[in-house]
Amino acid sequence: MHPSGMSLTVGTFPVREAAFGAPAGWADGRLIIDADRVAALVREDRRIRRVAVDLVEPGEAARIVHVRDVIEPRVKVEGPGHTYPGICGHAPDTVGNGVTHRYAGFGVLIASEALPHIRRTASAATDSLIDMSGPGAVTVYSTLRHLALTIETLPDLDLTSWNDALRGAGHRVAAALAELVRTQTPPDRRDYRLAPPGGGRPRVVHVHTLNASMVPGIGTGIYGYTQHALPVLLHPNEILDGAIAGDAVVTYPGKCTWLHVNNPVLAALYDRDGTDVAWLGSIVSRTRWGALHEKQLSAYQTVKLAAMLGAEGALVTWNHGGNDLLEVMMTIQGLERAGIKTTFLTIESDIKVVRMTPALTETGTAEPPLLFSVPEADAIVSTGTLAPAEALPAMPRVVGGREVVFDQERPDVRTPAAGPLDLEALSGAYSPIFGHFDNYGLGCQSYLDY
Amino acid sequence: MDGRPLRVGHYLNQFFAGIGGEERADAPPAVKEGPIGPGRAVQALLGPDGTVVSTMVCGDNYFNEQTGAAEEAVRGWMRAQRPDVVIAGPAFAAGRYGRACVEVCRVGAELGIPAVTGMHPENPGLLMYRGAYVVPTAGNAAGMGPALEGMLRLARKLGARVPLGPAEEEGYLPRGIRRPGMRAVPGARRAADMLVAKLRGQALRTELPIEGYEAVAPAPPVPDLAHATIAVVTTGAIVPKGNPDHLRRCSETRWRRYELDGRRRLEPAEFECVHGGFYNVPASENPNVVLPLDALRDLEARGAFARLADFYCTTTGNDQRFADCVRNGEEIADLLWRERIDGVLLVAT
Amino acid sequence: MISALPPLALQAGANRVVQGVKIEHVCGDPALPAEEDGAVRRRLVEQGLRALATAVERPTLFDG
Repeated sequence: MHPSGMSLTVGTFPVREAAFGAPAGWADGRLIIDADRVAALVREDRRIRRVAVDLVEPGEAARIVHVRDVIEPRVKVEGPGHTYPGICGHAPDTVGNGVTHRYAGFGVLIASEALPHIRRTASAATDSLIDMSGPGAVTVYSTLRHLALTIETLPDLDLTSWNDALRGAGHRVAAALAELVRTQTPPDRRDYRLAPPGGGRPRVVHVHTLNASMVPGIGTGIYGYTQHALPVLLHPNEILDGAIAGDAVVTYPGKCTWLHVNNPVLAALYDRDGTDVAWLGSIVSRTRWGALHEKQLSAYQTVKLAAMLGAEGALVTWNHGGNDLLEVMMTIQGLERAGIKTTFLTIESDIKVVRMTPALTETGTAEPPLLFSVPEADAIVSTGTLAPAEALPAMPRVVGGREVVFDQERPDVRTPAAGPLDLEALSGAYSPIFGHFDNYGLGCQSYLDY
Repeated sequence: MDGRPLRVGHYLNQFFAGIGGEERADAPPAVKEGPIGPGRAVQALLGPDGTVVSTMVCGDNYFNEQTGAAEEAVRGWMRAQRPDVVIAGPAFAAGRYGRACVEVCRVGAELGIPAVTGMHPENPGLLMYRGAYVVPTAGNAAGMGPALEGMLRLARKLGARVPLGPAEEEGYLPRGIRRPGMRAVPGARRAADMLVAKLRGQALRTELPIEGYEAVAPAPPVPDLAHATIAVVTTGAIVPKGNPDHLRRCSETRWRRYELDGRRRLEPAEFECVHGGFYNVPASENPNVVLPLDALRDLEARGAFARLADFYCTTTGNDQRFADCVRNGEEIADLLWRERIDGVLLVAT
Repeated sequence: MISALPPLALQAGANRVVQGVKIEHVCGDPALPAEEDGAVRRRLVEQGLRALATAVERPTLFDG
């Protein structure tokens, strides 16, 4: 199939208000949710003992803790496959065609405290939080309406079962909510189709590198495939239909399911496709391979794929940190050496800045901005920092749990979630704010050289 | 800004001061009243807003070879003249001149006197001190006009104690200080725009100039391995089972020393790996794959070296702050020095 | 230094670098039988010792 063959119409139902009630449905920006039905859906899985269902609004003096994932309800109205394919028992059929309906400004949030043995096995299953107002409301998640599912599972689930139970619950609820607007006419409709290449427009690829978990069975997946694998070519519409989705275990910002279907890079490239560029598609390559030769293989194959597609330009992104940067930089180097002009959209090593104090703002952070680099990475866009300027205040409303653990090695040290939180003192050099790096450039914040 | 004319001090080398070329590069520092050579163009650009009150001239070789004396002279000059701002050069591609100009700026910073210089972005003098405000110039004096204009623009602000904006707006080279700031459009859009610009061959400015790490002078080799004492250190977070010191899996600031007590290998019953940045189960099942004690003891027994230190040091090399890494390294090195270690094997993860 | 990622180590300024196996097990390979895993480890440590005894002027990868 020629890349320009895929065609997807996305119908958007903005959620400007949400409330519990009956009958459930969406009308004029107002979403009515049947809380009992939601709870029943969650509890269909016998591995789940208890669930609390809450609505949390942007601007509220509220804090959500133990955030495991945020899912935007999307439903396939026409065309093959199921949104968020390949996970939760959804068919693996290729998506990206037909009609999909979604809510905007709304997410189904899974909150569940990591079981003690899960904390030991999966370091990345940290406690994370979202403040809906105040100095800590720095991320896009602070601007969404959340239907928060605070879930308590059976205590002895293994990692795969725990992930399965939580994620399944989140997606069952998201699917049911999206189903409410299947037959309604969306107030906003947009067509997504790649223009046929030609007209002298330079051919570009989106190199969408994606962390793969070092712990088997969890992390971000492509049609549910989480393991390290050689690169694959996706049509952006597949990503819009949820082909890239997160788990309910790890908490690094780049894994969030909501973020992947709302990836602003897709919108930015679609805006230029057909006029300034001929967008060929998104090459998704895995990162954080353990051996140098594996990192090299992934980079080389990514470059080869881009070259075989006839790419002249590439926009490279990544969704993690640390040693993933090696294969990302090697990919950039390979692309440039193959004559493919490359730009790189990235966070900086300032992830270790938990609070952007006036002093730090003045002197700049002491971190080298990038752990590793290649001379070919000469066109970089930096997404700056979201670190709040102050400590987080006490919050009168807390959803998701009562206490937070800031050090996986000290799970006995539990801090009241409602309290004022001096994140720097509590958490050391890594922020527990969910979504605290802007991997894909949703915002205008950046770093400037002085 | 009180509207009073700016008092400007100008630093020049022997060539631009007109006293000679290479043959006068050893000229000692000398102070002249008023502007000299390109200083006259500076004066013209200043107009009624300022006066080049004094010019210091120094030979490039003198400055580079007798830096202490040269800097002392610059210090004395600045103290005596108390200029509102000092302009050095521009030095274009001349390396020794560039170094001198940058040092002049550094002395100014020391005395609280703002300074600005200009030189080609690849002038090696830039490596001496990053804090200088440097206007990028052409490679030679054909670029004098634009260089002086750029330098004067900054000099006026600096002299009036007006805080400077970002490097890309004010026209100076990045000094390694990055501060948060907002740009006009979101990052995703900027990335697409930058790609289009690059494809069209248009000028673009990277938002993150790549810089190298500081070079570390290599230690001389261990002269006599057969008689050497070797120690082993790892960033792989190998700790006694149970992690009694609660070494963090991520963002750890400390390091720890643990005794080996004559052990010939690390046993999983006694040691584990708590590193959170990789799948640490293999290392917990056999800690020797990260801290190769068994191999070290084997080689020690065979005489490859004389003695293995009976302890090791470890930290968690995962999301550590640069400053903590530097401090930990210095402290561990200090310990190893005191323990008379000849060579250290560092296993990084 | 024994590192699974020499390009990173060399760029960061490590002057004597030996290529390790994999991040998860830099000095060995648990997939191999114990004897062979031990031999891999010994070889890496020997390379490390050789590097310690060699003069270098800049970050250097010790091969073989």
